[in-house]
Amino acid sequence: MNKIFPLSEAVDRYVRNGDTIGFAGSGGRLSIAYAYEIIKQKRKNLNFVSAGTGAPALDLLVGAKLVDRAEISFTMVTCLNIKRAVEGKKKKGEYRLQIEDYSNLAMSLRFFAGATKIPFIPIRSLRGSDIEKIRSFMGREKMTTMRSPFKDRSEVAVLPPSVPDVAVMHAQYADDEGNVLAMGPAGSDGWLLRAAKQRIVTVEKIVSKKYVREHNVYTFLPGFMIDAVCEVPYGAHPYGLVDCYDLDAPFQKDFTAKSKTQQGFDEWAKEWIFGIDTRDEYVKKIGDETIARITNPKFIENRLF
Amino acid sequence: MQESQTPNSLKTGSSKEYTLREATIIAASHLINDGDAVFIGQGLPVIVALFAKRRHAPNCVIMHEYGVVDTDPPFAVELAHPLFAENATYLCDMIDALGCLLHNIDIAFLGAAQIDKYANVNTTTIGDYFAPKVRISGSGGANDIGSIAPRLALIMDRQTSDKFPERVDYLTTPGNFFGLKKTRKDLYLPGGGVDTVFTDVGIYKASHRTGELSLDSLHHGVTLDEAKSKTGWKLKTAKKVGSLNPPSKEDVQLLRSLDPRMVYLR
Repeated sequence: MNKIFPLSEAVDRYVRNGDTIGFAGSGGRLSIAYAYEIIKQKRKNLNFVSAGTGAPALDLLVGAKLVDRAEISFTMVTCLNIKRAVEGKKKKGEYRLQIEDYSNLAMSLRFFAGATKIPFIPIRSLRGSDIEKIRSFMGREKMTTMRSPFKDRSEVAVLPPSVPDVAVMHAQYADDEGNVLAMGPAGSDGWLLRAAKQRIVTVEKIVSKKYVREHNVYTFLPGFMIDAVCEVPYGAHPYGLVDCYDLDAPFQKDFTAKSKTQQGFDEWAKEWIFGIDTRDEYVKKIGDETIARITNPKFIENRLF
Repeated sequence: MQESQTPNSLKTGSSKEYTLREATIIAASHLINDGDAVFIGQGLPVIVALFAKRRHAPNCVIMHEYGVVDTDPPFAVELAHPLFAENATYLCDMIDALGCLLHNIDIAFLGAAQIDKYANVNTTTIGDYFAPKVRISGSGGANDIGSIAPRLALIMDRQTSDKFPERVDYLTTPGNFFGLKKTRKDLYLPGGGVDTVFTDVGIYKASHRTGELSLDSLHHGVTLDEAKSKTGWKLKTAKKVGSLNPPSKEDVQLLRSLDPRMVYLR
């Protein structure tokens, strides 16, 4: 079955206001292009979930004030939009991001539990920390402790599953049925996608099903699990993608500098999100020189090995 | 509070130029032995481990929670950079890395924004959690590493009394909790806790009995008074506080060659 959609349709069809959305993104498998499109279509009051690696997507969405709550484990010190939305006392009605802090393993296991329909899951970390003690919007639903029902009787932290309404990942290749080939470290990407009710994958290139069969050691998820595939060249830019391209450090630096103020972010978004109609336009705007600098020669030759 | 007498800029030590950050990285690298399986967090641990691998521990296995194991990047890059992963011998997911591999390592290294008297780490918020003065980064895998790693070392770039308080504002990652060695056991946390902390002041060791940090040795040219003024509690010291040799010219050259993009040495 053909699962290929234009990016705009893959957002329009699958993301609703108030949805819980998860971003994958290990070793760069971050669909920044999908985040741009959510901003363009102004899907708001989102609840964002990620095991660490989706932080740059969260920073973009928070810059556009679209996320109210985040169950996450990691933001980066360069995520200035998140900092602005979290730091200090907020006035009534002023935009604010509420964070429920977990650890990377905790969010990964919550996705694992969501994917395998286990109602709760134990973890060997978290106990005694402020992650356990301090609760934000999840309150007692954040976590609790439980004694092993078996003979060792040890008391461990237990977590609720996480089942996002939609999860999105950027990968190297997929065929038109949604069989995804992904290279690089997996982070929590696989379990996040499996846990979600709807699964979207943006890819650098659509390949044939024959190509997938020949390289099935790299198949990340089978096509029947995937709802939509979008071909989006340089879809992780300004982040990198293993075997394809490096991160674009000057672009990131410029984004961070502009993100120091809301006005700066808004102007940046006007230029790089709202002012651009097609992916070709975006890649053209990045410029030949940058594309040449970040692109992996292996990728240009269009070989996997 | 007395200001630092030793600027963190270029220091001159017997005709060798280096920064205290470089001296800290080099000192920390000596905790890594050849063949060790080393789990690293964000920040300085990346270059500490890579320096050890290039200098004295070529067979150390460097790994990170994204699912990158036994990596050997050509130079120090951000953990999210594809080059960090591209020649690893094993790629996996976070549940494997943090949930399983972490139990089997020799030593873990974490960076920290705040470290307290009992080597607990804060990387989440400064000030009130619900209206923080500063939002830092959160746990990432740090809480898991602190809870599970058999042995843990911390590294901090620039020690001040605010960053070295009696008690962290938010306990993101357990070091040795609050002086009761049995706390970890009570909480059924498998890890061994923190044994060493490296800063631009010197090296701190945790007491086997209480977990409290005490000053073990000072960087060349740093005084005991400075160490005390940059510590937010009444600092204990070893019976005889050592003085570290200035790093050799070769070590400094090697270190700088490993970070041509100045990701970690800037």
